[in-house]
Amino acid sequence: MRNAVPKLWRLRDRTFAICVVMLLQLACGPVRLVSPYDEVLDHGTSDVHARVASFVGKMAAVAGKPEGTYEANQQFYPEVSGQISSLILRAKADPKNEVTAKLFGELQKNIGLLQKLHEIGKERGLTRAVSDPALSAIEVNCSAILRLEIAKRRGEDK
Amino acid sequence: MALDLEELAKQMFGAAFPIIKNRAPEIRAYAEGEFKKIAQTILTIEGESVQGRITPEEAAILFEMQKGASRAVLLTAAGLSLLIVEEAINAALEVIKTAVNSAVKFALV
Repeated sequence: MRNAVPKLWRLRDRTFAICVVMLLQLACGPVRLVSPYDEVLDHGTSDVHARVASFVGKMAAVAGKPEGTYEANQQFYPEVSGQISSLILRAKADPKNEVTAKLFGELQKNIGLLQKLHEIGKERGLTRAVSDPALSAIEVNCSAILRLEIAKRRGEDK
Repeated sequence: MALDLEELAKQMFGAAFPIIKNRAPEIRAYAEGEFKKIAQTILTIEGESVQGRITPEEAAILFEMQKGASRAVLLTAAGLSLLIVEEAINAALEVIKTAVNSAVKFALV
């Protein structure tokens, strides 16, 4: 073993040197470009989706009534936005989770736009004509996050 | 037996390329499916706007939400691509491990 090191340095074989560098990389473990699966982010996203879908459904049902106005329901938005902010914070904890962090950012922007829609609806609230396409976009956001998170888990199974 | 760089590179490519080739269609299928949904929603927004059931301001905000959804789809496609590249790189490195261990006749790694 002690003689292996001076032998390596005496050998001018670039091919062998390249392979040694690669082997050192291998010795450090597999290459990881994306963070591992995170159950908290997975379940957190499903929870946000369930809350938003339930809320939008209720608002569509009471659209045009006082209980369906933005003023009667404005507390929902900072609550769900706060929940997403926590998920963003968790995602950002791993530098290799940049894509997931950005995905949560897009979701949060769309929640903000849903809030705006509700607000400008005034006494109409969130009619189905407005809430259906809004919820559809938010579902794509949530689905995108889950699709990637579950794909990370498949990688872990190998 | 001395390592052959060309043979090694060929083996690495042989291990990595099929992964990329076989898994890439998954990304296409995902993106196509999601963009169809978004396109359908945009048509719905147009229809509701023409019918007067949503105001121009609401239509603009709803369209902005579809753009956000589209960005999410592209971000996920990028993330899925990274996962596939990661798998391909590790497969290529695994090939080197086997080839080098065979060449040096002991488990160097």
